[in-house]
Amino acid sequence: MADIRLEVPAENSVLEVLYDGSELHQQPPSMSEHLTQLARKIDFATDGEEIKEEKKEEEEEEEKQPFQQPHWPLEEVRNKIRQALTEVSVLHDLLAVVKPKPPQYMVLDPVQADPPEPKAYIQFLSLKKSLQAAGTILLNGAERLRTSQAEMGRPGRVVGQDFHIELLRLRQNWRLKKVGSTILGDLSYRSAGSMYRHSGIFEVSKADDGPGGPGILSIGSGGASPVAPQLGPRAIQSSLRVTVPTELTGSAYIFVCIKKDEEDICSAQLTSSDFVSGETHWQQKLEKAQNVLFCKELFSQLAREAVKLTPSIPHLVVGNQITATIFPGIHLLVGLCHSDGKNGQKGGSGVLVPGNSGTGGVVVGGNNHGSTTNMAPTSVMAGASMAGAPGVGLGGLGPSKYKHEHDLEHSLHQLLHRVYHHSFQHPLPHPVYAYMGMSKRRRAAGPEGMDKTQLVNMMKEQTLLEQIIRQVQHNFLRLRTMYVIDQLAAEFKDPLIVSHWNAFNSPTRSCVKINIATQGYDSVLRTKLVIHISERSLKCICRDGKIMTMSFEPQELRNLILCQISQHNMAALQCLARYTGWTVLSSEQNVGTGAIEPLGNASTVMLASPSGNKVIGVHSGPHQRVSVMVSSSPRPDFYPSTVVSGQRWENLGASWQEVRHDRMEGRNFLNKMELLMAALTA
Amino acid sequence: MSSPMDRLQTLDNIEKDIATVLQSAGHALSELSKDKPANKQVEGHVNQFRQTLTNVETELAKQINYLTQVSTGQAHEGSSYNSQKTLQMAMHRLDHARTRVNELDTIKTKYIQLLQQHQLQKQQQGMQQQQPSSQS
Amino acid sequence: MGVSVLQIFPDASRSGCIETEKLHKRIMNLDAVQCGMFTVDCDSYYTTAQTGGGVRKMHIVHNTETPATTYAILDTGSKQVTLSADYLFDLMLPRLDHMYQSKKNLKIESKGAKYEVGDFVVKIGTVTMSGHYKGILVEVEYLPSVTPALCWSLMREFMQSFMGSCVKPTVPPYLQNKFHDVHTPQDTVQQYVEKFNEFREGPTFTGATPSAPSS
Repeated sequence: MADIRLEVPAENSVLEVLYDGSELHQQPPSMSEHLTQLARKIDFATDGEEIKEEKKEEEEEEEKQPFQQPHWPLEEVRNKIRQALTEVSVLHDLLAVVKPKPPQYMVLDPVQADPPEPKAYIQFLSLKKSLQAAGTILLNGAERLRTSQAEMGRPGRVVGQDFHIELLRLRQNWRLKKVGSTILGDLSYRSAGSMYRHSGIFEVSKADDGPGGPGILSIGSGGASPVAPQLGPRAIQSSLRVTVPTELTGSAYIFVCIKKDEEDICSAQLTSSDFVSGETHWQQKLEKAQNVLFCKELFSQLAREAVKLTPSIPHLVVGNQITATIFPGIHLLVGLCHSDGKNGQKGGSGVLVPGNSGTGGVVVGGNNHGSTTNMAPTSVMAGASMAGAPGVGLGGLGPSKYKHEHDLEHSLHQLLHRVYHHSFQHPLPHPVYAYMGMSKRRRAAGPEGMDKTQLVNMMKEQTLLEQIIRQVQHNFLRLRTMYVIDQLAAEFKDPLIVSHWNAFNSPTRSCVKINIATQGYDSVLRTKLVIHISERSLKCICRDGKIMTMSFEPQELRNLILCQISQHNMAALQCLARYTGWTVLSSEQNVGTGAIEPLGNASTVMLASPSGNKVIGVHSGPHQRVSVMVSSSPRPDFYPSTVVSGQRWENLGASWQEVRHDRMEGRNFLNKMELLMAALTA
Repeated sequence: MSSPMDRLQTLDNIEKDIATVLQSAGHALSELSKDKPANKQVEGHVNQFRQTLTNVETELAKQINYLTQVSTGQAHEGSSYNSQKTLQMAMHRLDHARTRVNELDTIKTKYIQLLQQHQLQKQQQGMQQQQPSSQS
Repeated sequence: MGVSVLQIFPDASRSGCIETEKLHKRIMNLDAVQCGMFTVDCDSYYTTAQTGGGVRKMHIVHNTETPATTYAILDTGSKQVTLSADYLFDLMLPRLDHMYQSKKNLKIESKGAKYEVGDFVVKIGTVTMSGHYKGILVEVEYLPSVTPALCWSLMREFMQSFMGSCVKPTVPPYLQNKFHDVHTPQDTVQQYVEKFNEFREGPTFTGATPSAPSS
């Protein structure tokens, strides 16, 4: 059964229904309006009593009338229900109108309820709570910041230099840039002028706290002992850690040596005794990595050129080694030795096959690992750029016969460095409106009037390999010349051979002055020669203007000096004769008679004594030794015969008698001759 | 002007000040959240907060000002690698020369020793000769 | 760098084709190898009347044999000063405009083919002055020697072999002054200027004894 509520309809009638559904009620009459209504009802013509009674009757009638209106007892109820139905159906219609989801005619909007009255105390509590939460958060943050700061400045930490100061030092030496949240660095030589395609990127990060044991050194004490492998246990703590690319870890150097062809099979054991531990200071790590990159670039450039160039005997590139022929039978070996820092000892072997003198030595199998002993950083900067100071001992290079040439390695480094330099540095224009990049020679080409071939030759540049081969050739030739001259000087004491090497030389030209003088008779005669050593030939300029060009064979130089020695003896003898008063009857530098000399020519001198009765004849050759003959006049054995009758013919010289000057007293040949002359004159 | 170390030190100080700022703000709020907030303390903390904050602001502004004047957006294209390499090669040359001189030194000492030995031998021989001659 | 001698080849015609052809044939008979072309050109500048003293001439000469060089020969009445400078010297000439004025119609050049015969280099050039044909100028260079004194007779004989009697047995006066000095590219260019001056004098030069350079 539904509950039906009957209620009195609104006291105030509806004047108007607005479009939004709100109803405007007729306002209950105000006091003054009510009074006017009542006043209108008062009929002032009639009596008051009748009015009252009429009023009462009217009121009763009015009361009775609505009471009497229902015909049947539930009329009122029915009306009410009908009204309710109407209203409900109105409501239903309203809902039906509002229902379609995309609103077509009407939209229901919530009407904001009145805000509940705030309860002050609860608000206060919640405020306090939120403040407390905020306060604790802030305090936590401050606490964290404080602890991290305190940790940085902890005295137990080595060096006391924090990350930023280290970063500053790093930035002063290396290129860094920030990408996102990481700090990357560039250790390639691209900014210096290299064209190698390796990017050389390293990463910088904060180091975790190490174990920080005792005995930790500061960076300043770089003057450690020269043997760096002891660096391990004395690790230097720093708050910075660099990660270099894997292919650049460890250390490398370019191994250069000159080897002759006659060797048997031998193995080159190149062991590495160097390791780059994790605790190496970042400066050294970066320097080594940069050196590895440099060596790799150098080697790749050399290998490329070795393949591109086509000399008469082609170069061999096998694995990590390049073999080039300098002179027939002598080869230059250039290898890249790279030792990774992972394990301590790594052995590599290369096998050499003996070649015929025509072909070069073939190296089979590359040497991937080389020996390096770190050159101590006398300051942190020097690092281990080029390894293997021989004073420290090429420890790993034991059983092999290959002596690493440091100066040649240095030359290689310098050549590549020069390439970098030229790729960025251009000569400034002289005069100001000229083109940039004109070298001094090109500038001078104009006024000198160089022709086209000369200009073209000036523009041609030699490759790295060619340059180093020229230098090696010259180096080798110079050493060989030194050896030959020293050998001769040790062998011959009779005229002394003194050589003065010029201190000014270039990698491809040297100059030596040789003085040949007899001891004690320097003022008599000094035979001087100058020998210019270039890459493949020697040029000898004698004092009398003769210029001789010799090849690289040592025998030629030896022959030359032997000839010069013999000629010196003769010339000195002539000068001596002048001093002693003896007359030079004849002197012949290249005598055409007598036995043929295997090298050079024999020379002869004839001297006559001041009184004319003794004649000395000396014959000297580079191969045969000196022979001295004496003849005296008058002949002791002259007998006038039918053909030659006059006595005066006895004054023609007697037969020659040989003097055994090697039995004579006297320090050297000239001394003996002087004594002989003195003896003959007496 | 001021060296980089000084500036790094200043930045460190600023960081400490920031920690102080946070701390004083936290203290102030936690004071306020207590049941009986001590006004003086709160005021004290707030004042400290304000002071330190202005301090931080001015210092940071100074540093940033300085940086705007000296820094540029372009990355630094050059590097000191050329001169570094030159230095390394010079050190290598120096070491090489040193080792060669040391070699010469060892040769010299060896030679002197040999000479001394030779002289000693000669003296001994001389003495031996004298002895037989004196004996005979 | 060798010794160069210039010789004007007498040519009576209006254009030098026939004579050049003749010379070409003679040279090829000597087993010459043609190896390119050459040009020697000369611009003349005269001082303006304002500057005191006599009128001075400046000749700017370029020679393709020395492509990096510009020669500037200053010719006062009494002496000649030669400057050999880089090619960029030409950029300075507009700045000398106020002093030296160029006379475009006096631009002379000698252009032709270059031949190599053993140690000799022969350049047969047609001389034109602002488009008008002037004559034929032959330059003979002997590469091994640098002193005219040592090789004059050899060169004269060689020149006579293919040029005939126009080659006088006497040494040209320019070479005579520098007979024992080392011959430089500047000497060559000075000889060219001398010959060009001769060409400028006569309208169509038919070959005569070389006269002294005019002032």
